[in-house]
Amino acid sequence: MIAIRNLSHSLGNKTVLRDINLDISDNTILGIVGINGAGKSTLLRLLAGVYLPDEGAIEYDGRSPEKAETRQDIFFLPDDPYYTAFMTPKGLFDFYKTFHPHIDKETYDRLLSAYKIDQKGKVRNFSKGMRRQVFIALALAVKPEYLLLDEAFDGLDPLSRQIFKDAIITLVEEGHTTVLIASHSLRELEDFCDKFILIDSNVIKQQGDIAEHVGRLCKFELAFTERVSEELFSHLPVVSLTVKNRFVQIVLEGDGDDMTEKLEALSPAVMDEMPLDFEETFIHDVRKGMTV
Amino acid sequence: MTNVKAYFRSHMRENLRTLVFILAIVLAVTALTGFNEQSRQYSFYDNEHMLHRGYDAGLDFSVGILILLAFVLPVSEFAFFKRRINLDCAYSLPISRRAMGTVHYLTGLITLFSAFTLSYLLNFAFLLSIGGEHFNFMPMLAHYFLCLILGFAIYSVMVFVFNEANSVGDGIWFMLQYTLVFGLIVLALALLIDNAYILDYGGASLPFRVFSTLTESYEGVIEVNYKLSVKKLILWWQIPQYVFWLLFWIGLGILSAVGFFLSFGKRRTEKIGEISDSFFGSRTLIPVYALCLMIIQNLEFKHIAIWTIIELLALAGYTGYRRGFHYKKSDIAILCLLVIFLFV
Repeated sequence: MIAIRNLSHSLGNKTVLRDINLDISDNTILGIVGINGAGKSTLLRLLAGVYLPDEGAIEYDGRSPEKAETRQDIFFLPDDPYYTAFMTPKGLFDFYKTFHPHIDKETYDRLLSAYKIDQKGKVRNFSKGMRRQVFIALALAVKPEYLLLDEAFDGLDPLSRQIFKDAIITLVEEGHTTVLIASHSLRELEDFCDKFILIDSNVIKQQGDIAEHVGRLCKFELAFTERVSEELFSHLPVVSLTVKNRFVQIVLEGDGDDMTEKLEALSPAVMDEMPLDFEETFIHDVRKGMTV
Repeated sequence: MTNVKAYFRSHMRENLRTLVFILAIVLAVTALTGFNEQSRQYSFYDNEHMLHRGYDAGLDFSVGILILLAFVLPVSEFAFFKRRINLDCAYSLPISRRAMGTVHYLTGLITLFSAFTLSYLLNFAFLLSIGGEHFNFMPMLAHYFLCLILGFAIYSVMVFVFNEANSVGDGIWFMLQYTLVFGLIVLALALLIDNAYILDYGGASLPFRVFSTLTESYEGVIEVNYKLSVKKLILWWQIPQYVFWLLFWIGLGILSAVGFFLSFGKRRTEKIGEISDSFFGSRTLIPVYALCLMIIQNLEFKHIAIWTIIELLALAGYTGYRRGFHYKKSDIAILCLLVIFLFV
């Protein structure tokens, strides 16, 4: 289990994370979401031992990531993975093998072959997406106990993303790995994350189960016979509301059936409940600046 | 420990290409420039006006390689740690930062010693081919080991200084500043206390000077027919400023090596690439340079225009250091103190 206690960190004069407390159970896939500059990457770097916290502590089963031995069980895939200039994918594999003797060559070769990566090419000549593919293959071949992924899907084509997601799910199902993913692509996270945390204004604003969180809100499109005003909906728990003459799009907080009943009471000519995904929920939450 | 050994092996393997490249350059340049009996030959008259033929021991080329690499290798070995993009992967590896730094330090030292030793051995083989009767080979051994110690010292100082910087540019700038600063301090001190004896120490401070005078004195005993022979070597060891700076650099090298091992990896990763804020860097060196220059010019020229130039130089130094006109209060305070110093 990963335990984060009273974690605070600043970059220069700017506080990036303030008093973060979080427990992450084993074999979980946790999505870390937040707007640009929210502190997602900083949190991952602190978890990987790249940054040392200003205050507070991080523990992996009671061990600090500042200790080299703890990092034996961690694999951090940063936003822009890079290693020394002359490294080839083959060289990188040999390099990581020195630290992870049980690294799975078959998995590595299979993934690189699926990604069509030349094992003898120089990593520095690869595009960002290709570099990411090489490191994804490394991460999955290492089969670490804790896998930390920053903007994991950035620059990957749809097929590469699917291969990656399937491999992560397999790792977690095999009971090996706890995965933490920071991403802007919330639709990708929704597919396979168990839990999420939302970082906003330096703190964890929300956390929990993604499905439950998305189910907390419901979205409707309504059409009335006459022009309506926003006041008509003032008695409802509105998260967002767009009124254009007779047409209304509304997002409400609460159970879908209850809200359907309340909206029907307003006698719309047409009413449809629309699907709401994690990304839309995230946008509404951040715009509303809500706290749990 | 297993990981440290593994990292060392891996880093050495990765640097093998660099090492081979450096050794090939050494080999090629030595062969092209040094392996020519004609160019090594010189003539001189003895006290009885008899013409003699002598051969140059050619140690300065090997020493030149040693000095050059003592400045180049700290940059090539540690520039990796000055790019933040590298550190996400590097610092999340299961090896401590200190161990990683030690591996890079040792790799540089091995490269330094290998290149110097190869050059020295090549030269030795060439001297043997010219003829043993022209040279005393035993003092070469002493010179070789003294150079190794001095090379280790200069390399360690530069490794420490470079690693006090947050960027490659700042690191190289710090290295240049440290090369000159000690001589300047001694010069200013000598003028301040009006001591001509200490004044002589200032000019002998540069590592290049220590190496070149030492090498020249050893050549005196290595070359059988060299005019000054053993006297010059004895004389070198009797010149206190030479011995002082030899011991100074060796001592500073040992301190720097210790300082490096204690401090490496302690710097906040997030500061890499930003303006270097170490007390061992420009924030201390700029005022030291300005103060020393003011002391020197005050006693020598007593001219206000030169004070103004020095003040402007300090301002330029801070402008470069802060990458623009974003001076800190401490910078302004120091510039003001320097003005006050003018009137005191």
